[in-house]
Amino acid sequence: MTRAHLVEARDVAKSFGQTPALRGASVAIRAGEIFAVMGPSGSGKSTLLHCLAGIFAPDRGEVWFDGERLDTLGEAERTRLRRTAFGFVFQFGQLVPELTAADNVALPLLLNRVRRRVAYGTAETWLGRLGIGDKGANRTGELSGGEAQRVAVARALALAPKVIFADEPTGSLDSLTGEKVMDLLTALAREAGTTVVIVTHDARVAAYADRVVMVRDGLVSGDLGAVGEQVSAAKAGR
Amino acid sequence: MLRLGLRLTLRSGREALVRLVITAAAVAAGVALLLGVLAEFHAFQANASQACWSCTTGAPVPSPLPSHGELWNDSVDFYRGQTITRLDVASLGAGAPVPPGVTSLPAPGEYYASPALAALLKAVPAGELGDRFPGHLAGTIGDAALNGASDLAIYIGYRPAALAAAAVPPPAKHGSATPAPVPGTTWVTSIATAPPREVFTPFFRYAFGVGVLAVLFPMLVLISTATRLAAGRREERFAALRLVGGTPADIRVIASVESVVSAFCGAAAGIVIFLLVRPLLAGAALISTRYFESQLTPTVWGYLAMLVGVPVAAAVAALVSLRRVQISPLGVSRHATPKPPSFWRLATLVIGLVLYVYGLSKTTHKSIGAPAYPGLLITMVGLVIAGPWLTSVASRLFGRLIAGSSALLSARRLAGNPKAAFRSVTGLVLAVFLGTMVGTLVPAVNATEATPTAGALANVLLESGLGLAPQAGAKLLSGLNAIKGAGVYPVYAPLVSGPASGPGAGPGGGPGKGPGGGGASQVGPSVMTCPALRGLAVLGQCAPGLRAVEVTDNSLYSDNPKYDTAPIASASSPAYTGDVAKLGLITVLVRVDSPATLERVRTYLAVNSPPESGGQGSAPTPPRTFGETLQIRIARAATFEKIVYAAVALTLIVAGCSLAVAVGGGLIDRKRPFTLLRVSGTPVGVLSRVVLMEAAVPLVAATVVAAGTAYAMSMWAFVRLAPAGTAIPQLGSDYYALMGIGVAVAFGVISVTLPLLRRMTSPGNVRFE
Amino acid sequence: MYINGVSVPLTLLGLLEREPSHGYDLKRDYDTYFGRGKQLPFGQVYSTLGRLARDGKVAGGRAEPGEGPDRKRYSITDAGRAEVDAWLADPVEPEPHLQTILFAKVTLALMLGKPAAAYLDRQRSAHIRRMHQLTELRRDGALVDVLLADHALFHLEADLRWIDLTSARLAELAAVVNPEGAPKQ
Repeated sequence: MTRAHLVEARDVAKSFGQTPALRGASVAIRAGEIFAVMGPSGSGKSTLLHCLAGIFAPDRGEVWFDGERLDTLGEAERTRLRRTAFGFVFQFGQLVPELTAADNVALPLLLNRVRRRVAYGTAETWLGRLGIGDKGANRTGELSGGEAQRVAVARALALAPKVIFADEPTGSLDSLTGEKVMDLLTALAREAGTTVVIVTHDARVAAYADRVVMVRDGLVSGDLGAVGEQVSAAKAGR
Repeated sequence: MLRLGLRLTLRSGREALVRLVITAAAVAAGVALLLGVLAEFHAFQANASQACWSCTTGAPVPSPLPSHGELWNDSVDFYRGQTITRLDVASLGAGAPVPPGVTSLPAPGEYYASPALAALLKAVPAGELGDRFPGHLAGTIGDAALNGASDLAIYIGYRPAALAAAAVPPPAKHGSATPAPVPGTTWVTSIATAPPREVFTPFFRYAFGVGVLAVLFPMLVLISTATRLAAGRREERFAALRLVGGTPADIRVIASVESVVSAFCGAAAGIVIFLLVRPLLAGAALISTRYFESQLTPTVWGYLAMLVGVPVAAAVAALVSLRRVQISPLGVSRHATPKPPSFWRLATLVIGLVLYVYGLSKTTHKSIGAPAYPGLLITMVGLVIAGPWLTSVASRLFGRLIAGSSALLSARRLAGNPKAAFRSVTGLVLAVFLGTMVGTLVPAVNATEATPTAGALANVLLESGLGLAPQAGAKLLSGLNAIKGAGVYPVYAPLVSGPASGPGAGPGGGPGKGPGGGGASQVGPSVMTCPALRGLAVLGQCAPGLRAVEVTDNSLYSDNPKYDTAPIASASSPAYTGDVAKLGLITVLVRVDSPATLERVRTYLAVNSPPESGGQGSAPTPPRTFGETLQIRIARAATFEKIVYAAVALTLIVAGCSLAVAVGGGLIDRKRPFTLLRVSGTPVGVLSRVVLMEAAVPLVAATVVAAGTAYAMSMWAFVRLAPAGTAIPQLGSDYYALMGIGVAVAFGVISVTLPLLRRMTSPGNVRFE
Repeated sequence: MYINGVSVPLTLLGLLEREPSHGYDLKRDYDTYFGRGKQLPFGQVYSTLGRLARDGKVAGGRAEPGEGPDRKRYSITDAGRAEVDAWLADPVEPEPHLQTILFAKVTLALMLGKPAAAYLDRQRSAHIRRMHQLTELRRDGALVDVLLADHALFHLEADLRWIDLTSARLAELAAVVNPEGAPKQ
């Protein structure tokens, strides 16, 4: 594996109690790529994502990020990465329920000791780019599912991360809303050169990705290959 | 980070604000109460450690009179249920010691009075009060000599010759307003400065300690409950924070900020409430009728402790509640069933009990053994820790014994998470514990005062030790009869002149008075006429047809309300056939119909009755009604009881709030599963019963254990602390009433939340975010 | 020759790869597994076999004495085996009869003990590639193109669902079509 790979997992294994979730999975994701992990429920794909994002450390194997070991970093360091280098969009957004949309988007910045005015300015900008600039003052509970997911995307993008990790980002949305969210996510990520790692069971979501792998029974069972080789090649010329 | 925490706390919407306000309100109530207890304690301490000038003892008056020191005669008088501390003093030379509160001794013919007494003297007719004191008002007595603003005290100045006790002081001229000099004078060269030795002071200190804990603990529990309110939402919030890179330290700060803000607001509000209520507290003094307001302060330390200590405690509670919860960025997606609470939870309770017993075993009558207080505290903590285990055991029994779907649901849930179930009733259990401790201690104190049952003599004045020859006696009686509203019942006996058989030795024992006085002694049985006896029916009856009977009047003179209303005559009392008019008058009982009459009678007797011999160095007690005697003894305990039950009642209120907060929060957490149950056909009555049972089972189980433990502990304390010979007290009806009210309040609170349950889980609400 | 999109020659060739068989047996098996209620005409069977023999994929065995052409035993040649392999391994272009074809391929693969799961994965990969292309089209295309692309995407998704389900059922299916278990080659 070369240094061109931004995020890597090498032979990662992780069990919860007696149940093994991952049994030696390996993936390598290039910088700027949109990468999808598909698999049936219970296959361990979410666990793989969590390991790649450093949310927990695997029992065995290595996780690399930007040329350094991620799984051996301390909790504090991994936490810091989560507010500087990683953005998250999960199925239910994981927003703070009682805060407004603007608060939620600004939150990782505030936690990073960014000044309040700057943080909220950035938040407003990103909310606007996701088409919900007028919902900044609404509480999470007052937003529709699609709007909430867009807030999550804004939050993920606002800190200009290197990688966005998305776990079933459209899982709770209807087709049209889901497509809108995916359109926005991939377009904005491509613009900024952000790597995106998506876990999904939905082929139409995976279709947004440049590369797709299958996970089955805790193993990465197939690199379905670079699906958009021609397209990527054309992009490289852009 | 603090600012972020503040922002999150204050901007989190209406629900969070309501939570904040409720917590702050409950904290305010607790803090106000706590400050009140501290203030009372401070005032009590100040009083208890004040110099007891009236404890001064002196030497017998030498003859001839020395030229330094002073003649000192302090006694006690009564006016309408209030005690008047009276000092008759005559300076023997320059440099005579001055009692506190004045700069010099009163000159002969002058007296200094406390401000309250001075006001009374002005307001009340002389015949009821002023005539008792020779001289005129020359100054006021300062606070240093008084226990409270409403204390009545007087220093009366005399010429030395007037106070020097003679063997037989000349009888006063009848009808004149010059009162007779009072025997019992001593020669004093220095005034006592030690605080009085009250036999119940350690008792009270212990009770104060219990009182403080009674408020503190439920308040802490309430704070901790409110912190965990809507825990599900809290977990969501913290997980989101963790996901976007908040460190666990950040989470801790944010969680503490929330608690600290509400606690601080509550503490500040509590201080304000206390300051508003303080004047009312002054009336609830323990050993005098009113405290000085200046003494009634929790002191700067108290205020500081509230403003600093309570928020700190809240922060600690928040941190503790977070300790067990490892907030991962993914939140808690799957709830593993927690392990059932182990038997070892009882350990803390046992340790506390052992410490307590050990501490009490090291107790002397002067002070309580040091380990007893931590023992009590640890026992309370141990109850809280052991609660979940008790709940778990009780729920298993409950599930086995009671049938029905509600029982099944609640038993399962209790078994699954006994900690959460117990948490909501923790406050109430503690309230029961403390209420029981208090409920046994208070009747204990009362038992030593021995409440009598006879109230028939409550307004009958007893003046004994008269020792008057028949003529003088008749004169006195006619004077008394002339007072409107007085019913006079004399007791006669044959008298001969001569010193009494012993100094102050009367057949009644104790501080009672003997019939021998004024140099005359009784040589035959006491006699009462039958008409007179009929007027005091409770003391007995003559056999029909008799005019006078011999009475056994010893019991009358005992100062113990238990005995002094025992009958002195019966149908079998021997008749007296002689001429009553030839007998000397030894005692007169006067029934009065109003306080004014009482005071007039007292004043008349003070002026006209012969001086009594109280014995060397001890002042004779002035005439009192039987009711007043009783009152003095139980006044102390009555006030104490008042305060303490008030504290327990307020504790119950705090605990009730705690329960409401917990049950309400629990409902919010379980809104979804309950709604789904209803949608799938479960009648709402079943759910209501589930909520009720879930609260009832831990409440009953832990309450029974708490009450039992508290009773045992206070029995033990009683045995160790109370003066020997006092009877073991039973729990009074007050206690049962209070506990009953408490439990009723608890169920009331839960019942109030039931309509809320109905509305929250209505199937129309099935749309979840 | 295609029936419902399935190539008859290739299917017969695949059936033949199991073991040398008479035309009659081949027809019977075809009808059982792939006929879907209809019977393959005898004439078609023999003419297909003849063509395959002419192309060198099948070797017609000596006629056994007796009843005529039915009693001829055919066997597959190496060329024939290669053709079957290539056909199975190659993903099918997404088209309306894809499922029928896929089913045939999967069944045969199982009969022959070939890696059916891998074939399905390859197919899935091809589908996703196609879906990716369509998604890219949707981004900048005109609304009409978008609608057409959506339509195709939904069909592709349906195919993928079937592939997933079948992948999950391979063991069951193998037990039915290949009870003896061991591969024949």
